[in-house]
Amino acid sequence: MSEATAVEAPPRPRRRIRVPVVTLLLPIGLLLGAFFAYPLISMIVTSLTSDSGGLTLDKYREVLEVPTYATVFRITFEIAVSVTVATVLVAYPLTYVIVTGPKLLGTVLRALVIIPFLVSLLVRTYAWLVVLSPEGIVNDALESIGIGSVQLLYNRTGVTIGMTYALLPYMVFALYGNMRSVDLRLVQAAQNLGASEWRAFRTVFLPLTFPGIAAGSILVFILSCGFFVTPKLMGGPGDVMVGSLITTLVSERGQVEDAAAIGTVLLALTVVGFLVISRFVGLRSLLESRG
Amino acid sequence: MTPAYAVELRELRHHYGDVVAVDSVDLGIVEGEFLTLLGPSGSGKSTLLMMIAGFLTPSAGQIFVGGRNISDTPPHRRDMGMVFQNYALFPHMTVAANVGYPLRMRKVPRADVRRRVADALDLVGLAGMGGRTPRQLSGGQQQRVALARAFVFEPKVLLMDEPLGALDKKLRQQMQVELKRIHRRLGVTVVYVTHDQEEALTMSDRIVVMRAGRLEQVGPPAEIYNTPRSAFAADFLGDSNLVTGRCAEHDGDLVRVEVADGRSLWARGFDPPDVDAEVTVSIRPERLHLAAPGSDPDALNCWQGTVVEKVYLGDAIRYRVETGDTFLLAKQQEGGPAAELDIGAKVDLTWAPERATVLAEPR
Repeated sequence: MSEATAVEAPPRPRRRIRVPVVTLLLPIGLLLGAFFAYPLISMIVTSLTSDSGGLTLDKYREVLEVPTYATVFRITFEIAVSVTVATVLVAYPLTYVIVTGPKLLGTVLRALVIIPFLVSLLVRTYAWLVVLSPEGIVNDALESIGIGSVQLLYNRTGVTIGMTYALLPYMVFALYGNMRSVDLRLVQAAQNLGASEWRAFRTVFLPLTFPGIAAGSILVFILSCGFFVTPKLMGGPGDVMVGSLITTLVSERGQVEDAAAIGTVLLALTVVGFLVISRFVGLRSLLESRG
Repeated sequence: MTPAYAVELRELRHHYGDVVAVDSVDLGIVEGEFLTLLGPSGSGKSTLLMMIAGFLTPSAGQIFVGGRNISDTPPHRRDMGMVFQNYALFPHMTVAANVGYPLRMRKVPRADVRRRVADALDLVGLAGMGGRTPRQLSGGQQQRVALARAFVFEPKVLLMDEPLGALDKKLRQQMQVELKRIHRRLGVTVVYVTHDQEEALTMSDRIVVMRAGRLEQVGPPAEIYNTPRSAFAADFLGDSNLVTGRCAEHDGDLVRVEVADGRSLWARGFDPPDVDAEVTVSIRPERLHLAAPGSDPDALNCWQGTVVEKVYLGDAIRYRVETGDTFLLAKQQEGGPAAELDIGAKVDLTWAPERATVLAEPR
């Protein structure tokens, strides 16, 4: 009997609930609109508004003409470049070990990269202040091996160390995804064809990780440009970055229009830099599936 | 004195923890020979190849190439070309740069590199394709590039790890012929790994059947096909009817085997088993003839049976015949005298005694 029913009952079509795509995108649209697009547009509008309320480019002229502003942009650029280079130099070998080394070691190292990431940047920065202070363990170690105490804080070195540390996970993540997609049999093939381990790495593995290096560098460079907590706490008076400048202009001097113009310039420079780099290294290869 | 073998493995062993992947393998590979390691996955054939290439360190034993112990030589100094299963072409280099890679590693002058790359691409039928990237090539073309890259530097040994596994059947058969042509042309020693018995039979000078890390049987394809030593070898290379019984008497190298249901058969036994010993006989389905009952009264081997299944294979028809307590498969040529039998038909199964083999190892 039950068999008969089973045979007779046609497969019931599953009712599809049809929701317009627009409805599905509404929450994220509202969120981005309210907290991203609106502030951004209002920043640009503010930067173009004269004191009398009309349209003007005065603020931009000011940004270019006031030497302090230009200096801050130059310092920001220098710090961002050195931080980017430093993160590549630290993250590349680290990620290489995570990807190609023993599984357990890889897991431990990955945890060591990720866990601090979950702690507030402020807390981590204060931790560095302790570690790098003249009485900190780094200087203790340097003294015990006879190098002597080195000024590691409140200067460019301090900012670079702090920011490199803070941005290291981003570089590791970018490299990790890329290195994981490199077929290690290619390295074996290179060795089989006569390349020493080092040459196989240099001629095969390294070139195949250029997209990862580029992606990580762009990410770290852009994030560096907007940093202000670390340079403020770990840098000296000469290490004012654009982020700190904007904070000062808004909260201490009330020059909102100047701050808006500087912010817009920073945004424009970042976008241009991104486009230029991505044109050269072909970020598309990162998005393409490997064949 | 020239060494007896191009490659020689002595008591080679490899284990991952407690799992023995290759167990004490002794094998000599003759100069210029096409030797195939054949076995199911997990039989240790790839592990063996990886040890020869130098990517795995043997747990014990030695590898000699041209009489020289290379067990501790790193892969890049072994001078062996390898074709990987997935081709392992460098995606960031052109075809020409891929093929030229081993030459550049050997510091060959640039003009020579260009000439030899062109020659190699010509030999694999890809003349003029040097400027493309691997991505722009079809699977079969990538396979040819990998092959050219592996032999362009004239290595002593070519290693191939299931190189045709990713190709469709038609292309695979075409490449088998190609590979043999190139092998003949170059005269290089080839160690070829596959789990495809047809591939092994088509291309090899000798086949090594591997099972659970050991060499099950080594010999030319026809020898292994016609006189398998074990049920495993008989079954792995082609289909086989395995009949178990008791050795009743000897007559030269023929053996009479009594089967449990009281009938008996004659088969060839190369290492004649003792009388009364339990034996397994392998009979290839195509060696069995089906005929109308009583049509061949002189046949030494003749069992009566009934057709229970009929499968059309295109060039042949495979019957399943119930006979006594067992079922036997019989492959008959399409269009031949036994092509028109129906299910339920009474038949006589006959076969020449020398076409049935007593296995050296009973099941």
